[in-house]
Amino acid sequence: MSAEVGIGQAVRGGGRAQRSVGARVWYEASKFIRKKPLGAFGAVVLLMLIGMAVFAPIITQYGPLQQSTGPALAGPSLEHLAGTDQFGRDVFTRIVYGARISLFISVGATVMAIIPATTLGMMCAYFRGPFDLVFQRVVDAFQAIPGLILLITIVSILGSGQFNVVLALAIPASITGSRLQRAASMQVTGRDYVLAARSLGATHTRIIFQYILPNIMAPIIIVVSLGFGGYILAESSLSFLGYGVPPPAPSWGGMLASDGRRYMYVAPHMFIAPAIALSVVVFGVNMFGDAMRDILDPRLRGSG
Amino acid sequence: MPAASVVYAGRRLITNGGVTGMAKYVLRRLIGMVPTWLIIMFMVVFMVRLIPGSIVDLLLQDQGGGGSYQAGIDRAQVEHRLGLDQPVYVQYVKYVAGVAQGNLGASLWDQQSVVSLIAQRVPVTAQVALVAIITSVFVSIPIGVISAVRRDSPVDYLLRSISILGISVPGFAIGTAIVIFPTLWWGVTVSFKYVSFAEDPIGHLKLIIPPAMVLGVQLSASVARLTRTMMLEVLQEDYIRTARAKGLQEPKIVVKHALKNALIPVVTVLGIQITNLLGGSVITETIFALPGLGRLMVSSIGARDYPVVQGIVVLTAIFVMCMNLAVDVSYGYLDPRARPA
Repeated sequence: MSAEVGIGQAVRGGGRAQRSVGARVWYEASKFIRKKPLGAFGAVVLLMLIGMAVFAPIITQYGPLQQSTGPALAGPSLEHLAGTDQFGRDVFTRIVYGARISLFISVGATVMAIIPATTLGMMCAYFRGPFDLVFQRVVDAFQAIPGLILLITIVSILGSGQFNVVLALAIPASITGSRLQRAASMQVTGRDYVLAARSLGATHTRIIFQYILPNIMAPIIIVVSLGFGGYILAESSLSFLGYGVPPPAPSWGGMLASDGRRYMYVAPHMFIAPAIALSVVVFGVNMFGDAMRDILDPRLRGSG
Repeated sequence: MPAASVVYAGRRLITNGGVTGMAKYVLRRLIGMVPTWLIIMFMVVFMVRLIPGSIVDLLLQDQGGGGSYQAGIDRAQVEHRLGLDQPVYVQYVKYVAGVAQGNLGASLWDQQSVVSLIAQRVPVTAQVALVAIITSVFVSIPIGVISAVRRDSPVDYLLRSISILGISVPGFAIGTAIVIFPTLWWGVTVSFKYVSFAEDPIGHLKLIIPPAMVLGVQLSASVARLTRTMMLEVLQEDYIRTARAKGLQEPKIVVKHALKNALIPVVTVLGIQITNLLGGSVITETIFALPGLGRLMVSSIGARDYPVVQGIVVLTAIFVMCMNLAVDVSYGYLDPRARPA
């Protein structure tokens, strides 16, 4: 089993390793690459995304909003790897800085969704009764309304802006996402160790966070890794409908959906470059998420 | 996980016994929908009114070109006429009462009844959804089966990569590329002027089929992955070993013995997908200029046409909930193992 858990232990450095920590990390990593080549590809893409976000000013000499870096609407060249846009801004630079927005949105929405979703899910599974009954009807309601419509309405209420987009993505996800955490918690609440904790007089808070939470980490990690790409895509869909991160911020969705589409006939690179960036990242993230799921929960392999 | 809950609901339903058990189950589920439905109406009535810039502002802007009206007085009059001067909870109760009597109200802009507005738009969305589902079946099931049979081979990796790629590219990007690149590269101009089926059947289908196929290919990604999972599970069953031991040929085993059993949850998940299409259609309809439900929804949110937004959400929600019920019920029928002996 310990071999199956793989990278999780590699990250922690593997406590009982006979080999040195470095050798063990390398061993687990090379095994991950061999067993899950697609997942390893995903991990590389994810690292590249983080690298682009962190080292953006080193990677490119221009600023993301700097105009007239060259002729407007020019195609790819050595100075401008992905060409320029209608203001002469460097498209490659904007994509590199856009990684920050994509990361902000996906990490922000994931964190803001998974914490309430997990807490609510655990509470429903632990307390059951009227709270669970009523809350599950609310989840039903959220699930029955088409997702994009809900997003547009929430963004309209909150007003546009990068943080509001994150909030809009997180609110429905924190409600509907609680159902999976509830199901996972249900399996745990009946276990003997929970009963034992309760009979020893542990408080509800202690039981939920000390006994239930650690035992539902696998589904949480799976949801997180699979949801990541979804948020990036959802932001681009919102941009398409005019509800995404507002310009001039270099969000990939926005570059693709507004300027990219507007200048498609004269400067197709303005559409193609962000489309490739977005697709490669979402693809990589999904591949990584798939591999994580295979490792953490063999029962769910490839479903959904 | 939809598949798991579906299995559970189906089994429980059948073990309750016979047709009366079924009728009771359906009735109980339908009654159970009422609170959810009240919550949905509550949400939508409150949420549309929370959007800044109310319909009253827009209407006054629309009318008062010369500023000949007295803002305060006119505003109160307009609000009163539209019934928006009442507290929101009163409007909610009135709306629920109206819906209970089958009255979804009328557009605040042109007084057209919401039911007829929606009825005009449903056929387009329904056709797109139908073609998308059919496309998805023809794309996803072969991919899923081949992927499972050739598990962990290069073919499997390739097919899985393609299906994940399908959900990694934004739908509007594929749609836009289909609309624009042929013009750009080959000078082919595609007309997107909408014609109804009655006017020009072939022209109509030409408009419906490409966007529907784009949606279908996107849908097929998740269905292909589910098919693969189910096939992998079924191929490990004893009856497959028996079939092999009998000396049946592998293609026959895969198609007749394995696929038939693996498809049950896939079919039910396809049912659930139809409901997702209602949301996904917004973007497709916008790109391909199709007058469907999704576009009506987005434009109504923009125009703050509260009754229309409410009407679409309420009807979509009913459809989604009934679809889920139908999926749960059908599972019992589709899986012989779940039937009583």
